[in-house]
Amino acid sequence: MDELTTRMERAAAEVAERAVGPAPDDLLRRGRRQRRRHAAAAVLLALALAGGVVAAVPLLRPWQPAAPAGMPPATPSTATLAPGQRCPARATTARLTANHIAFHPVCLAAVAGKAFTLTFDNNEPVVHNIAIFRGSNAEGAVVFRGQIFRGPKVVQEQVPALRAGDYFFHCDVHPHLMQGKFVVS
Amino acid sequence: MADEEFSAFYAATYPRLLGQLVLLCGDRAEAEDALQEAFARAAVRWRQLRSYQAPEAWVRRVALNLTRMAARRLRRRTAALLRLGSAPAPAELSAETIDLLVALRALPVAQRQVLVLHHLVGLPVAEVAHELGLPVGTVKTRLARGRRALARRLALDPEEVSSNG
Repeated sequence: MDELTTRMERAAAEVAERAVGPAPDDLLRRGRRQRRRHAAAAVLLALALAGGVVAAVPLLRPWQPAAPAGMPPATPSTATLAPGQRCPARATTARLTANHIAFHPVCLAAVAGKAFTLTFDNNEPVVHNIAIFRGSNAEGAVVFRGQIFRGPKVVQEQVPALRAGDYFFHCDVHPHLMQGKFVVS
Repeated sequence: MADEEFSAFYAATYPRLLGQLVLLCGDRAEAEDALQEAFARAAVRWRQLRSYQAPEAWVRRVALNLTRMAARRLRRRTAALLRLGSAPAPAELSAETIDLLVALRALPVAQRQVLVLHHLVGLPVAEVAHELGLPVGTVKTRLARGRRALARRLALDPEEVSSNG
């Protein structure tokens, strides 16, 4: 049996162990309700197609929830700093920890034009890496991409000299859950 | 009142099917919703279904179709959630399982389906093709791509992730 099959079976078994479904009678009621709804929709459709009941048409439209009032428009998240939070002091070394599928800290700083060593401490038995991009998201050019490795393990990544500016970093394996900002000045 | 035989079938197969569906959807709530809907349909058709050779396969197929329909809606919802901030990882699952779910979720639905049906459900390639209404060659291609992508994301040994299809 290959490793992928084993991993999938372990994960599915873990989910199955915690599975608690509704009572069979509740499922039966749900099934009957749905049948009645389908039967009613079929009748309304037949009436509408016959052209005799114009008023039935609005009933066939799917229900649309009203837009929640006061909700701000969604904006892309790029792991920006909280107000008042600052990046660590500039240095030619930096340390980054990965734990619970999250980076700590979420902001790093380095000196422009000087290569530096990034100590990446992957603290959990999950694979992670760090990839650094120019700009404020992963759409910018990649300036450094570290190896993907399973923790717990510490790797010294040699990051080349970078021009001053704002950069973005993430884990290639968990790009939406592990992100950060990188300031070079 | 639900048929006793249906209740026994439901109790025996629900956990296993949920495990499969969660890996396929990458989202527990979505998987539970689709699976319960499929079982609700099975409950009202049980007299007919009980004569089938594999009622479990029928429920899986209905749930699979429901998740396929829900996939687009789910993608939109996930994208919105990610824009608004990451949802916390479900604490009750191990890091290894979360890791696998995240890696699977990053794959296209089409690749996830063939990987789960082949590797987890244990269907041969020809049956996966039949189940999804696809040519055998397409299933093989999706399996190979999916395996490669997962091996890379999970840092598995590519030699170990054998192509037994």
